[in-house]
Amino acid sequence: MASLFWTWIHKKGSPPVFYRMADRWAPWLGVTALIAIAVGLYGGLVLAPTDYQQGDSYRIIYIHVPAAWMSMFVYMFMAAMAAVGIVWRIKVADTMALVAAPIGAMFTALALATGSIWGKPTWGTWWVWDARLTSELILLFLYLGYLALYNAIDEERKAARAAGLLALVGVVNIPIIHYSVQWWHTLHQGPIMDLNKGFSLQGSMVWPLLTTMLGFQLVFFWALLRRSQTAVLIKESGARWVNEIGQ
Amino acid sequence: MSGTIKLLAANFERECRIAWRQKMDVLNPIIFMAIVVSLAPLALEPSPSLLAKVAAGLSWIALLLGAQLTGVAMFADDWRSGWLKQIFLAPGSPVLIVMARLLAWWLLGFLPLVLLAPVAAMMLGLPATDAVALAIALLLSSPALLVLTALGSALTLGIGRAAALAPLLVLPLLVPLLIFGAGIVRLHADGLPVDSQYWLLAAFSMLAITLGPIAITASLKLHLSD
Repeated sequence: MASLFWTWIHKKGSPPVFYRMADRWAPWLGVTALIAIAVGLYGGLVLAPTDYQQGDSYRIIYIHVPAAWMSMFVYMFMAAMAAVGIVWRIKVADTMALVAAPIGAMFTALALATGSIWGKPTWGTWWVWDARLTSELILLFLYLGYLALYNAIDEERKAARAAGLLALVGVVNIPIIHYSVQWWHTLHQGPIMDLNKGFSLQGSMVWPLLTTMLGFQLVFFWALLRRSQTAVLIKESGARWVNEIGQ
Repeated sequence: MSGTIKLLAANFERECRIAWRQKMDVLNPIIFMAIVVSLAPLALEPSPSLLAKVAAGLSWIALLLGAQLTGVAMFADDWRSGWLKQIFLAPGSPVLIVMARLLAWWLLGFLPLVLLAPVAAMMLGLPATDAVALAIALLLSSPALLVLTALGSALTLGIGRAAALAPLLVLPLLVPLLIFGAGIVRLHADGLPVDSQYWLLAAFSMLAITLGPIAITASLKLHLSD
């Protein structure tokens, strides 16, 4: 059973098989993501009631919360892929870790930007040195550091392993970002979702949020597959199967 | 077992001797750190009440920056001298030899910085009792600081612009240490118990000591292929 699993992984991990599989999956992911985000945004921006404290400005959570969630999810995904790449030497895992990093950095930047826009009407300032904001900024630096190290090393395999080690060590920061709102009672509000307490929002505000979160998740996997395909093509350029696709 | 100890001791002695001969590698970070601290009163307003307030945080920052300078020197010559090849050829575990290196650098490179930081904070006006809390916090987090700095140095080994890249990688990783370490002094100044924070820093360091040498050895091995 175990050997069957590994054969399967290595078969799926071989560049041509992976490329074709990604080609089949990506359009579906893209379309579903688009629908989920459209429905979620309609629910959030039109159907959901106005907040009694923050007025309409709270509606930015339908972008801000999914982006912030994805900024952490993508890092964990990247670290997991890096670990798989280091331990089992699966090339596609290394590629996925590399192409996930800029997507994660984008989500982090989006979370910071929307948070800043939200901060202006609610806190009266674009930026505060609050624990959550600062640790999210540090997360952005972690992504940039990963990319900087990857790009600084010329040899592909070496770059993947060195950057992968760095990504794994950086995982320590993720719980700190996640729990910073609970540990320090600063300006940033508490979490909207809590597994023990349930939602601090009303139902008609919650479902659009969950839908946009799902949409963002799917956008990530769509972008991941498309970027991996490009990376695989560049890496394997000159191979016969790449030429066959070109024809 | 005695072989392991002997290997560790012999390498430790070698590393100490080398560090002692290249005194500038040890002295430069200390001088750098002293400069960073003395820039503070010039950059901020030199009022004693303000400086006393920021003293602990400033010495933390100065320490982290000084440590980066130490990191640059940590594996610098091993690339050329052939040490890197030898540790993987030598009988016994390369992790042990790396551990001996870390131990020597902790003693000669980091301990002086850790001892200087509370003194610098006191010169900026931090009360002596808080300086003791700062010293304990620094001492407890220094192994984690050492391991992460060494990891940055090992990862960027052999890259032309390594000196600029390593701090970019390492400083974000040091944030947890900074948050809890600098928080201790604030809590202590408010008269709150800080034991749990000490334990947390010690836990960070334990984790770093356990897994760090393995990760550092793995990063060093990456650079062997060419």
